[in-house]
Amino acid sequence: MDLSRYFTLADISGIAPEIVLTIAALSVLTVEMMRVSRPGINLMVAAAGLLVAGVFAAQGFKEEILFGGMLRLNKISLFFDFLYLAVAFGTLILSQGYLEKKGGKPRGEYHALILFCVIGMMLMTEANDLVIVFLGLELLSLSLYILVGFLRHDVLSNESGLKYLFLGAFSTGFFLFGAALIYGAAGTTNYNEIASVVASGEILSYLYLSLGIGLLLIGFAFKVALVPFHLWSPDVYQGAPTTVTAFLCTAPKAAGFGALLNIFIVAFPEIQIEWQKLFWILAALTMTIGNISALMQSHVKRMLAFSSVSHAGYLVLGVLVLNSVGLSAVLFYLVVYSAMNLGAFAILLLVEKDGKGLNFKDYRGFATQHPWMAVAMAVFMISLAGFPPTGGFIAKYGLLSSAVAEGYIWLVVIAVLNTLVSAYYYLRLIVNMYMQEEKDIANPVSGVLVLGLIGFLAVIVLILGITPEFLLNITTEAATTAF
Amino acid sequence: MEDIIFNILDYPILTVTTFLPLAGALIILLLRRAVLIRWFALATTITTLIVSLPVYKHFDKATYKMQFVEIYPWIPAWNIHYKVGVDGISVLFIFLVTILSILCVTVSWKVIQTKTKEFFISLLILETAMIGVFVSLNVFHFYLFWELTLIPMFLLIGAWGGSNRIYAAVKFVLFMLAGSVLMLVGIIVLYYAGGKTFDILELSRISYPEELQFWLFLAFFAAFAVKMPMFPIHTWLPDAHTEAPTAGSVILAGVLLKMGAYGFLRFSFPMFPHAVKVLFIPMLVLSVTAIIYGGYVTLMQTDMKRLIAYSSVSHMGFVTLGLFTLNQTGIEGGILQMINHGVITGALFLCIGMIYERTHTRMIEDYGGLSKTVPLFIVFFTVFTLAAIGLPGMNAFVGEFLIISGAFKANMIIAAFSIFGVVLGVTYMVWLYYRVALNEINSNTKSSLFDLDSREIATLVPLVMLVFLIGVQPEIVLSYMHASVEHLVEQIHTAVPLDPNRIYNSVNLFVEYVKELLWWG
Amino acid sequence: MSIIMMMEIFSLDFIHPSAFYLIGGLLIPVLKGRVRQGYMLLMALLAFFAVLSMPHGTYGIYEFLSWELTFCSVDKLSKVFAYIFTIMGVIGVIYSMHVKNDGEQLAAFYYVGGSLGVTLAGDFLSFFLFWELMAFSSVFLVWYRKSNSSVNTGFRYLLWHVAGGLILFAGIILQYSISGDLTVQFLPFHGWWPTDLQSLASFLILIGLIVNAAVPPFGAWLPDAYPAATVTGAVFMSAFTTKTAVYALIRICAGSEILIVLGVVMAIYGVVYAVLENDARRLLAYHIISQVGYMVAGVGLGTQMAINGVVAHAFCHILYKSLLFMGTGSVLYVTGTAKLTELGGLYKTMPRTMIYTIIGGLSISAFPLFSGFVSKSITVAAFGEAHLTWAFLALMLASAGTFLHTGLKVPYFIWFGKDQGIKAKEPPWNMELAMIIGSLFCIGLGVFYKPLYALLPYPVHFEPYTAYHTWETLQVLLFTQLGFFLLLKKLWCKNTISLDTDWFPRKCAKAVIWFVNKPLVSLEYNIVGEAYEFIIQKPIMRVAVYLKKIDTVVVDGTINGVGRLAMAWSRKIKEAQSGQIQHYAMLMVAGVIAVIIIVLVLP
Repeated sequence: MDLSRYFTLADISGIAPEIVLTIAALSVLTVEMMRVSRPGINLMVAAAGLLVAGVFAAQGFKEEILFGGMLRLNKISLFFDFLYLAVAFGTLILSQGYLEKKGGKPRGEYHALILFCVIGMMLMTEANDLVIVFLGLELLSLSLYILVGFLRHDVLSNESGLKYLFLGAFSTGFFLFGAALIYGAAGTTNYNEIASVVASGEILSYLYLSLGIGLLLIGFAFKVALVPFHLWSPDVYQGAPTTVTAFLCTAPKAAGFGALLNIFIVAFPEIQIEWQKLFWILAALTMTIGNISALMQSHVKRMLAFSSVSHAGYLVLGVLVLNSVGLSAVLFYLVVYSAMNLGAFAILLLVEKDGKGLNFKDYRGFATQHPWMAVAMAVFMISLAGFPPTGGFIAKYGLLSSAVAEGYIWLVVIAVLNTLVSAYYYLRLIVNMYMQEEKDIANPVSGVLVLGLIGFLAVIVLILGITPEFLLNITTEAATTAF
Repeated sequence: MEDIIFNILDYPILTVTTFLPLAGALIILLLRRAVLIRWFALATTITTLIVSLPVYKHFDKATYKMQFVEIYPWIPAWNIHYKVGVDGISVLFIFLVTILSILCVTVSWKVIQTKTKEFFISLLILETAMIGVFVSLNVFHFYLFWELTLIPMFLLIGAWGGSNRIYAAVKFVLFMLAGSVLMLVGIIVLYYAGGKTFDILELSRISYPEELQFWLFLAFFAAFAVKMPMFPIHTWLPDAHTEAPTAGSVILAGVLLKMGAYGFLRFSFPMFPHAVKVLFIPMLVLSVTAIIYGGYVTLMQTDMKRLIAYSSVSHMGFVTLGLFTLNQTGIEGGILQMINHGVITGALFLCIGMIYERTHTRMIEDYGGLSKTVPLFIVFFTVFTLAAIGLPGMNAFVGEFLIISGAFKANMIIAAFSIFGVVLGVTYMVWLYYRVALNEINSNTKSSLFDLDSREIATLVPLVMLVFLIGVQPEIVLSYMHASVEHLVEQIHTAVPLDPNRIYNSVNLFVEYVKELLWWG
Repeated sequence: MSIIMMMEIFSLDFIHPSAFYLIGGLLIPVLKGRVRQGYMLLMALLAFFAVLSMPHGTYGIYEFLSWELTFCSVDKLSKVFAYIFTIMGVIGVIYSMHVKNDGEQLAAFYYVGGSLGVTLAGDFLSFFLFWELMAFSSVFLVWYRKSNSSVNTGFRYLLWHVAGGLILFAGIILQYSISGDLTVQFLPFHGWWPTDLQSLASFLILIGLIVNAAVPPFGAWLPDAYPAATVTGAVFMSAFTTKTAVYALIRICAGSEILIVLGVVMAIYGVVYAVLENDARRLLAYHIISQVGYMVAGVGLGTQMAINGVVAHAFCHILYKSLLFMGTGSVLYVTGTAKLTELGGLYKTMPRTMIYTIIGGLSISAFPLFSGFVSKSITVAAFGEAHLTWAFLALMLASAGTFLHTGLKVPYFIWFGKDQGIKAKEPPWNMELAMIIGSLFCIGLGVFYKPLYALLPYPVHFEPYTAYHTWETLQVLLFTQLGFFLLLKKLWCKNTISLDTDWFPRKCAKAVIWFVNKPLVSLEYNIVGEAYEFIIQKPIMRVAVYLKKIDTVVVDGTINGVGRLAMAWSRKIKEAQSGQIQHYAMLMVAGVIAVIIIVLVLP
């Protein structure tokens, strides 16, 4: 029969990266099934898949609408695609040798699931239809549930997996309900059509629409852990395998923001104005609560979990000022943010050994024993705290500046005061590393690849702080095409 | 750009001066042996000084314009250029930074035994940051350098400091950050208010709406006041100074405090003249409060370093007093006094550090009769004590004279109070002096005391020379700043004619502004 | 130090006398033994000759900032003071030759150099420079006594002078900001309190000066510090500080009426407490106050004759007062005490020293043929001429008192009186030499007074040795002498042997003694002597203690409090993070409801 009624070749080439990744994931599973006993072969395959996908994404890029308005490729989605691929690649490198250390065998599902996550996230940001977003979201979430609980013999890991599953399901329900309401109000799930309906004013019920948007928002708020929907994150982050945590607090957050921005830019451009107060409150609340709760944490992973909450708060600033400046700031921020967190978690998972090495006091005297790694950690912390001359500062500056341009002075003041608070707990790690008396700490396993990655990320963070020009141009270009 | 003079030398002198220490730090990163590191750090700092010397030689004292200016595009996306230059106000501080950095290296020669590499790296990065602050003509990288001073200082205090070092270090950073983040907001607002530019000179040419000026002034004031530090946000200073290693204290007292005052001169005065006019009486009052309050609190200190630290509060009070007199004499006095304070207090911290190396106590009651046990040391200590008191013929006297005569022009009563501050100054210094130098010999520390060695003498002698040179020939220093200060003063006064009743009900104005803001926000 | 400075100043056609003290002094620590003594003497003499060779006019002009400092402006007035200061310098140096302590010698040298500098300063800045130099160098003369009390005393002394110096400084700056002129000029202060800025300026300057002139109640430092000073230090200090102040007063404040009153009060006050005093050196210190009182009063009168008198009196006073201090000093040096009650009967063991002291005593109490006679009487006469009878009488009375205590009391109790059996001998040769020189001057000036008069700033039409004047003086002195021997035992303050002559002297004596001992003594020792406590120490120290508390508790406390508050919140929120999934679900539902409500109320 003639499939061209359903899709064209263009559609296929448009989703080539996703296809490649699927194939890679499946082949990883097959390799696993065939019991090829070469360690790291899964990793090879998965990594190869990511690279090829990247190549395809770069090659076959066109600004186009695919599948009759289901998918929508543009510079932003491309940008996000590369972010996901990079993060996933980094995560794979980190995972090398980690699972063994945690006492589990390296199993193919792990790598496959990460690839599935990437596919899900790509769909989320490329989606031009609520249904597709939901599809991507679910694909991502389901894979993550498994990954979080991946260490079967580790109680914490199981617990957090379960928590994540329940609460995730909870939020997904809201998301779906919201989508349904919007469909009820607008009679369509396609962004552009929603936009045109709203513009033409032939909405069935504004009440449904706003309720729908509200619930949709809650779904995203859960994904990107905005207060008060952040409660799952510290427990899950703590319990999950550190590699997964690293992945969890970077890429999915980016995906969540990507999709959110997409919806508001394309579907509800002028409605967003009415939502500013809500975003305002969310931003202020998220920053403040996140930072304050991070203050007293003694567990580094939890601290980073809360810090990622507060960073989500800063990012909401970008959503609040929904213009090209804000958008480019958000994109830039996400890149720097991912780099910093990956790096921090990388060091974390090198240091941790059978449950120890995750508290602040385990880092005493770290500087004298592993000076280079300490320097890297210090760089990441300083960057997270937003000190110059690191990428963290430039990124934060971009967001604040865009917010000031729109006149949100008070929110900006709140934000900078939060930076002040956050400095305390970021510096606390430096204090422990450099200023506390020696204690014999767990010697890190020295995976050459991981160390290389850490160094690379540290350099990236510094370079982005000193000459951000290159990345800025990209983000600005991507952002301007979006409007 | 009619008011800049591009660099006429055959190499980008300011950039080189700024980043040479950083380069040194990067090389030290690769060195292994402590001895090598020390020597290399020393070499770097000295080279920096030498490299910077042509600035003073070729500096054109006749003009207020920015000199040795270099401009390179940096982040076009945000219209940010790398732009450096010096005028009569900033040029002297570069000298101060470079000279003090050398002394910091020499004084840390023996004390720093752990993490030597990290120590000297921090020191050198700090030097780069400090020079950067003074040469920046672009708000963006001014702020960059401004913040860059924090982390190395944080490490210096926290990693090589005294018993209570961590508390002090964290306190230091949090205070500084509290100020500077507000300044960051101010900078961003300024950026949009000034037509999306970060160029300090361009921003200085624009005249902003009065209310905006007011708030911007306060935003910048937050950062500068904390750095100075002005009463009542000075409490980080005694802790930081006391716990920091000698080099740290010297840098803190010598340069970091000055960055605040420099900020007033570079930003507040030229950009927000109206706000300055509105607020200068409160500022004078604040300064005098700091002078007298600081003096009093100093009097009761039992820890030598803490005592000197508190005295800095009082001395910086004099500096702000001088600046906010808003007349040539006062401002020049203020600037000169910054240099003097850098020299004298730096020297005093060096002295105390040296004696601390031997006895490992900073408590005054553990000392006494040093004039008999370590005469050579006491010679230097005496000189610096007298200088700090402001004995005529020494540098501090000139500064105080200018400041107070400026203050008399600005406001009689304030000036009278400031005189009382001087009495207090003499009281605590002399008291310290005779408790340490003249009382009967203290047996606890007698055994461990031995006199200065050549390295330490070499460290102190340059400062002694400065004390007397400036004291006897202040014109050498002042001649650099005349033109610039003159221009600054007329910038302030031409921008807004002095309107007394407007000034004296500044409080009402303040309230009114706050009201407006709250409704708007 | 200031090689540059000295080049600046002295590359000219003359040499500033204080250069020998300031720069020459630097070599003292290097040299040893006889060489050093010779060198010091040489320097002192050179300074004297420098003054001798100094033509009138102004030189040593030196660019400093936008002002020109005139380090050397010479006229008749400054020259006569320069003379006496350099002469005194020579005597003092000889007297203190034997002292081994470099620091003390150096301090003395800088002290003398400072006062010379003040005398010759042509502008207020250099004036103030040397003024402070005096204060800071002289305090070491006290500290080098090396007793605890002397350390504290020295500190008080210094604070007095710094406070005074800064008031002066304030006045100078005010004057400068009014007139834009820094040259030392004539700024008399009229009336009792400042009325306008100009008078405020001159008032401040006046106060600054009279602190150094030890005018009560600012004079508390003097009897406090001088007895505590080293033997040689006291000699120097007795000569320079107050007289420099007198010089400055003449130059700047002559004719300020307020000074007449202050001066007279001073003269009486000094005498009264000198009479009561037991420590010989403290007695002499009080007596300085009384003598300076004459001068201050004279300055206040400000007529040509009065000024002449003041200058002449200062000239002689320096000599005989230092002579007395040298005498008592050598007693202290030999016996180790200067308490009159512990001394006595030394005439056997130290006859020569006795003679010098008596010469000093006679000249101080203006005995004819002694220097005091030719100088003091000019001032007094000037008051007579100006028909200020009350002042005239008061001063006469004071001079009677003077004779009573220094002319009679000191010699009596030290040399005669009850023999305490103290082993003593004549002091070292250099001390004695110094005293001989001093005595010669005292007698010489008393007899050949013309040259002195010739030095005075204004032409003198005064003849001391008139029959009337001589007789009048003798009269006063004789009566005093009579009274002295009547009240002899009572004057022995610390000792209470009742005396049984006939009732009248007894009664009145009792009355006098009671009055003198109870109210006056308590006044002096509990109030004026403690003035430092009230004026400087208490206010500063009390407040300081208090403020330090505030600083640590309130100021720092609030800021740390904010931090603690954040921590407390953090803990609370941590508890909210219970780990129970149902709690999370509940909170999220709450959030959902909140969002929905916001959404519904939004439009």
